[in-house]
Amino acid sequence: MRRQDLNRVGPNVYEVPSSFRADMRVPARIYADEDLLEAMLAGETITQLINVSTLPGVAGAVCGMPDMHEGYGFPVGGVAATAMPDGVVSPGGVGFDINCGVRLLATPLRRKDLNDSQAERLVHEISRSVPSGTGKEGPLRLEDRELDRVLAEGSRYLVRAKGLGLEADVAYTESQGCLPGADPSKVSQRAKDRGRDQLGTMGSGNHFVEVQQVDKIFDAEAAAAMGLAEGQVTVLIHSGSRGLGHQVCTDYVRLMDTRLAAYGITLPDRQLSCAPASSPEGKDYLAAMACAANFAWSNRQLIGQSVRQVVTRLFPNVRPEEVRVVYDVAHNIAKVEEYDGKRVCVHRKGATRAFGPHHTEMPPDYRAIGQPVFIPGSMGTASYVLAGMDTSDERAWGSTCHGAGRSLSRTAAKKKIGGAELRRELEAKGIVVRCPTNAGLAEEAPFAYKDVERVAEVVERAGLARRVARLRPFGVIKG
Amino acid sequence: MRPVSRSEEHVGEWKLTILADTPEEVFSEAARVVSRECGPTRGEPGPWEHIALTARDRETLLVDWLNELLGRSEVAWRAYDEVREIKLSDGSLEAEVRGRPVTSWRSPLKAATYHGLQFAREGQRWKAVVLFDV
Repeated sequence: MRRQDLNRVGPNVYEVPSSFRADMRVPARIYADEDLLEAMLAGETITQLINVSTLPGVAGAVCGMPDMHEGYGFPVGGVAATAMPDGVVSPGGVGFDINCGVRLLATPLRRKDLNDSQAERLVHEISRSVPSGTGKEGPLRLEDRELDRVLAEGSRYLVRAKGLGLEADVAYTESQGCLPGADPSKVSQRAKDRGRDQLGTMGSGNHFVEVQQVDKIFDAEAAAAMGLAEGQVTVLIHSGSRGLGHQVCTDYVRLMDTRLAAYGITLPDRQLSCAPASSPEGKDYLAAMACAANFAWSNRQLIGQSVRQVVTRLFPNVRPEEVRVVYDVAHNIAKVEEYDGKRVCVHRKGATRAFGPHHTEMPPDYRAIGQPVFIPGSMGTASYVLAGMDTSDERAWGSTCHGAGRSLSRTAAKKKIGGAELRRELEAKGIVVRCPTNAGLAEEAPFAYKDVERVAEVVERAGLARRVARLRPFGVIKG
Repeated sequence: MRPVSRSEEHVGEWKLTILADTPEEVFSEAARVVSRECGPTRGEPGPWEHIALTARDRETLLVDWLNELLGRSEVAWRAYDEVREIKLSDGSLEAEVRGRPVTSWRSPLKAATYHGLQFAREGQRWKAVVLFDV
């Protein structure tokens, strides 16, 4: 791709017209500034977004978020909507870590009221209570029947049947922690076996639990609605559906790859394999994907409950209900939504739903401000809380970005800094680090990611979401 | 010559290249690569386990083989580093594998993908390229 192949069509909006390549069905729209765009032009990122625009039934335009980077099939940070009922659904448009997402917990603690020893103890005890997944078992053993209920009912099953959380946790979770249409019989035994012992575990890679303080408020009204104030201690949880989701995606990518010819579908990349949403394969995938999404919400529910128990144990004057879920959002998911009276299946691969105000799915106290969105930065930098805008609905299928976005490979990051050195650097900044391996730490070094400040600014200027608060970490726990 | 595997640069995922004298050795080396990622092992290998796969071509078989080993490893907590009795055709694969217990699960590998998949003769050797989601 060359810069001249893209037209600037608005502030921080660029477009590849559908005439650019014969197999494109709709334009490819990219939200970025010139610097972010230049990084995207360096690899296959934009070509991958263009490939997505060839999917049968794709509607409107495919969208690249400001943190978009090269993936496989879909780029990470790509959004595509396909017309229902006969447009395709593509498992690769969701990814292997189905419903990877983030949950933000707000505590009544203030950072200034904690001495360094208390802060370190808080981080340490959370690290002890949230398994990374390197051990054999998570905190919950599930019989087959119970696992099926998790898959069918999502996090509300853990709250209502197991007492593992509060009713408010469910209310403040996207889709109330349960995607409809989930059918455990569409999930393979291998997938269930991979995930069975992993509920309540973080996983490795870029998954984390971060202990933070609110260090800046941009939008006082929205921050107040979310119950966020400067100096407040928050905990951000990033994890997904673990091995269960990985296997669901593996199973259905393979199945659909074998059926492409039967549906007369030709693709520029096999990893985009897909089937009409109304076909048996499409319906089965959506039912299995919903199960994996429900598993992921349950996973973050259990991790959040572990954090709540640590906070109330270390600080006995804190009541469980004071450790609140601000919101929980998915960033790898496909959901049927309605735009301009038409039903579409919105694929968000490394992108977050960002509904503007008044959507009835949100809790009533967020309907005036828009849906909370979280953009985790890298270790040692900041994360952002944002709120969805009506313009996001109009411009990007109600979506915004999901993080800062990688700019360096893991290998390159490890060549640049050793884990022990990075650990010392972070600790010198007052950040307590808990990570089982130095190599795993180095792979996620802050310089391996784009500048989150720039990404958040572009998101706001492009009308995809507006900044509400910035969070600074003082504890990082990695799998 | 011994099979060789090496990592290629990829900003978000893990791109692996394998070079070997025969297609069968590519599959054996691929198993060893996956097993090395699992984490530290201890104890004796378990019993030999039989794997049979069918697919439309050899490169698809390679992805299916890798995903079979990834799933099997994660469920059993075993690093399958030993492979024998490989019978490979363009559309099917049979093999026996066995592995040692993993003491601490470290694998970042979620799945092997079809993206940019290659499997072909290059000079005197066979070359395969696979991208993993990590």
